Amino acid sequence: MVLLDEVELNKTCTIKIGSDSYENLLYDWLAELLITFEIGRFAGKKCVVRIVGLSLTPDFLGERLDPIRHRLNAEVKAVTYNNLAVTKNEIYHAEVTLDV
Amino acid sequence: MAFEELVKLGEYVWEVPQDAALRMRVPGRIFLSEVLMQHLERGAIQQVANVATLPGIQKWSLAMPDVHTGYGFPIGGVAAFDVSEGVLSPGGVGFDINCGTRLLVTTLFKEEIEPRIDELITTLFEAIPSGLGSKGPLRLSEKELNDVFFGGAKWAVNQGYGNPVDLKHCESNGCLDGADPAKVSPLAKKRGKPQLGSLGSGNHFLEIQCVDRIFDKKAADLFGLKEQQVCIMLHSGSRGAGHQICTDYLKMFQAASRKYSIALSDKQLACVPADSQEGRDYFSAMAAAANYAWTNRQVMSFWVRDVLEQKFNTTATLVYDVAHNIAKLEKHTIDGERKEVYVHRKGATRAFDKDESYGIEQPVLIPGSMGTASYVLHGTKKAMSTTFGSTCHGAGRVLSRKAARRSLTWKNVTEGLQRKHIAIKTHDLSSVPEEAPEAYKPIDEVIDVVSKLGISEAVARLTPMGVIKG
Repeated sequence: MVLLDEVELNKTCTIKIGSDSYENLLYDWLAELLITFEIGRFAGKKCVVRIVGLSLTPDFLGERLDPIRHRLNAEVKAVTYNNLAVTKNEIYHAEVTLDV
Repeated sequence: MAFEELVKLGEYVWEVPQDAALRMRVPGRIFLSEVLMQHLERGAIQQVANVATLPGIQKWSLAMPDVHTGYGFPIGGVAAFDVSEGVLSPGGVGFDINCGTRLLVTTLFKEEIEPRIDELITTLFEAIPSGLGSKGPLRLSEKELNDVFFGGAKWAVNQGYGNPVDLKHCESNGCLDGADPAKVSPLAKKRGKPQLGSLGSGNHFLEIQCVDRIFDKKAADLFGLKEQQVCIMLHSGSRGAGHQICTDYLKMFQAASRKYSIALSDKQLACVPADSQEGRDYFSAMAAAANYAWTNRQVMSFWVRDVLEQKFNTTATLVYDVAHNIAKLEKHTIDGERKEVYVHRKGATRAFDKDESYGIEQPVLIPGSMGTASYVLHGTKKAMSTTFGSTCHGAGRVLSRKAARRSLTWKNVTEGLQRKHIAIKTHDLSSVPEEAPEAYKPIDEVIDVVSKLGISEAVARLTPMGVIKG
């Protein structure tokens, strides 16, 4: 993933996701973010998330990946279902394991 | 699951009894010495038990001596499923489909390379793309990518990236039958297309090694290995293509598992009947990824040979290429009956007692951690009867990547390598602690256990001279 210090907020990428459970919603969203980064070459820094029922409309703010200016840290290769959990009290608590 | 649940059946054999967890259909078996037992995680025992609950599992849910906690299946896990009653599980193969190891032997000896090790490792580092998000220099058309998925290493050889004899020295001749590019999603194709011919990151590596001990001269002679001879070992897989295929089918199988009323102890174990449309589709896509991985290692071997020719006016011969994350349709004798089964090996290596490549037992390649020895072994009859023809795949982690980064520094690790006269090249020094010897079990102990169990026998020990860490 990109070190956030060098990422500017000059582009917004909006993804709409619907699913059948909060866990799958989280999984699908993170899997989309991975694709947005790897194929869309989009370096995201900030995410504004709206959740209505079991659909999610996140505005992902960042900029196009610049391989010279942006420094990469760990490479996330996949999102996993390992211990995947989402609970909602006053706020959402999520647990997810990424394959790096 | 508690350690107290384990029952010691023999010096290196521990059983997870069938009544240790709900719905277990067979017992589990974990192969460990007392030393390796100290590294066993509760999570890994639980995962062995979870795998034992899957429909159609045969005899045992197995874990090799390099076992550690994975996603769904443990790493080091082996399970065979009946072809008509059993299941196929992407979690039993892993994200990096056909992650595997390849060994090339050069005509050069240690004393010739030692003074030029920095030059050799630097040239290889420049020739073979590695590191985070690395891309290969090949620019494939859609049709060429489909040909890779379909044909595997043979595609690369036909394009001039190697010799026809290389195919004879690959597990399954570098191509799994049944691949269908139509079962690979457009996203997986997009991720895989630019990456062919690249090492990748994490625990993937290229290592310059030297044969420092021969244990079995007859087999070593046949494999072309002599003491002090220089070898090149590659460890890589199917890159983004394999990861996306696993992701796609895991998601699809969450719902499909419910459709087939398969009770899951862990979502990452999502599976479907092997004899279902979804099962056949997954197998076709997984085989395509496996073929991509064999092509990937074949293309990188071409660049290794190119560097050797340019710098040393010599070449390298392929000793063997093994997969250690794969599901294969195989015939095994189970309770006296020959049966077709889908053997899932996740962080486990095939170790057959017969192989066409050299006319003796199948060569087995087991890499150690960075800076430690690697081994060439061969399969055995004992493996056929006790592990569905399987053995370990490496040393096996004891520290997570995060824990390794917390407890070790890249400076200390690289200094340790320098003290052993091992050159290192990487694009990401900060990730070096993740692959340090301290993050893994002792490889010599793991090899000792598989040898004493008789599930593979050591042929040669290789020590590192230089490493490119992906």
